[in-house]
Amino acid sequence: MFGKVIKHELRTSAALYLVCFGIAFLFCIATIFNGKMALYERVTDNFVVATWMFFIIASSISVAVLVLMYSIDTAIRYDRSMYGREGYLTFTLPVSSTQLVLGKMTAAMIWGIGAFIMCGLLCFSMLYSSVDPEAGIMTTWKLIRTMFSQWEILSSILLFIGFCLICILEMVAMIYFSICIAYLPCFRKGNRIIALVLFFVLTYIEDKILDILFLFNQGYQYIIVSDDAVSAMQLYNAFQEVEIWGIVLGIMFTALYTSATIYITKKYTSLQ
Amino acid sequence: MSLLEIKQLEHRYGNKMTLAGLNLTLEEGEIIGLLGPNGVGKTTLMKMICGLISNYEGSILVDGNPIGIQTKSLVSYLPDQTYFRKSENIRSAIGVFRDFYKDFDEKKALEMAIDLQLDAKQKIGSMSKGMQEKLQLIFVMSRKARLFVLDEPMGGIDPSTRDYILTTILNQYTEDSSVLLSTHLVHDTEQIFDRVVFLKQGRVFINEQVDILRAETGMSMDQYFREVYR
Repeated sequence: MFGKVIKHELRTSAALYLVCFGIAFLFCIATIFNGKMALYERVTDNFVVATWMFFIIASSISVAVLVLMYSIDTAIRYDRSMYGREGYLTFTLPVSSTQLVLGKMTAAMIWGIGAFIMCGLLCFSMLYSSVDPEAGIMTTWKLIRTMFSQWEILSSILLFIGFCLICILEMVAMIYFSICIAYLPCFRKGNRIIALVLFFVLTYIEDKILDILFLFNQGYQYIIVSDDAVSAMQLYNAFQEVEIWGIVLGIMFTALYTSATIYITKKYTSLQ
Repeated sequence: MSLLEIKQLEHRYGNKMTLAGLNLTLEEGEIIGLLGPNGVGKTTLMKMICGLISNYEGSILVDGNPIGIQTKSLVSYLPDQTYFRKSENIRSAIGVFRDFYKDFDEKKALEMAIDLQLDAKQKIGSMSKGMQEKLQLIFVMSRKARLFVLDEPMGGIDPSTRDYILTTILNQYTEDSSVLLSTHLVHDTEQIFDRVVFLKQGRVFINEQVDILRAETGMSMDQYFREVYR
């Protein structure tokens, strides 16, 4: 049943996300090709340069819209499918609250990974199309290859990607938790406003807690107090420690929000 | 073992006590009319049986099981409002039922949709409210469930369609299942009831066979309803 929840959840938002991903992807590809024409092939035609600029702005806006839309759609989908009209079907399906919440979270995460890949593609298209042509494209690729061949740098990049994905997952868990609290039987009106306010309050509280918890992280302390004399390797190690600490805390908060959401959904559901 | 066994059910909505120690036992093979005026707790009770409300005191057992995954696969629920997404079409809605309910008869659902001259590719949002309600009823009644819980299946439906709905209910229900149906249109539905349950002040006020009540009171259920809640 868990797989079926994911399947139907993905199907519900598929059209919206695939169109948005498609538009963002096309803009990013167009940015790369126009940048290549304008920089590497030395096309000085005003039209080509203007088009290149247009695509840089358009791809940036499309990815920004995609990320914003992802956050809003995640909240709206959960609100509608659990506590709106659709909830009358959702809660009568022979599926446990755990499968329901985790299934929806998995589907949201899949779209989140898609949005993250689009952000990565945007960064690449900007980097690729704005690199100094004097340095030559081969030099740029050589530099990238060198970076990826060094385990210290590669592991740092992988940790950063992991950290970003955990942040997305935690945001989804926090959205779900805020919504399920807002629909407790004690709140009879203005549930969506309560959910929105609660989300920002939780973000603020979590931020304060993280400030305290990071004080116990040596890497974070090292970055704060370090001066110009520190070596690059020491700084890398410190960043890695911070990233690992961030991932661990992210997983902890996600687990906390998710388990609370499942418990409340199971015990206090009230589609009145 | 009874099909539905409810003991000392209590529920509050804000400060209001909607159900106050309700006890009810239903056996299989009956069509039961759940009757009462607005706000007496009919919809709340149905939602509890179907797992839409879980903050209550007391116990509800469906075929001996507390409300959960197992009971949800035994109960087929028609709410008093439509729950399909407007952008969905009939075929994709069938897909949801087929995937989640093992007892869903897809062929029967499609046949009934054709009877209503509905196109499987038609968007649900493009249908009238009455048509959406009929479609939902078709889906709910296409399951081989043990207990059908129908909340106002004829609310907002024109008189000519009411007969279609009653016929559908009678045709689909089998002797090893029961139908619990709430309605305000007592006059239109009383001919299909085997038993009626009247609710008053959050409790069961009357739970009796329709034939016995008619013989005892000399009134139709519609007349008796008016008399009770006058």
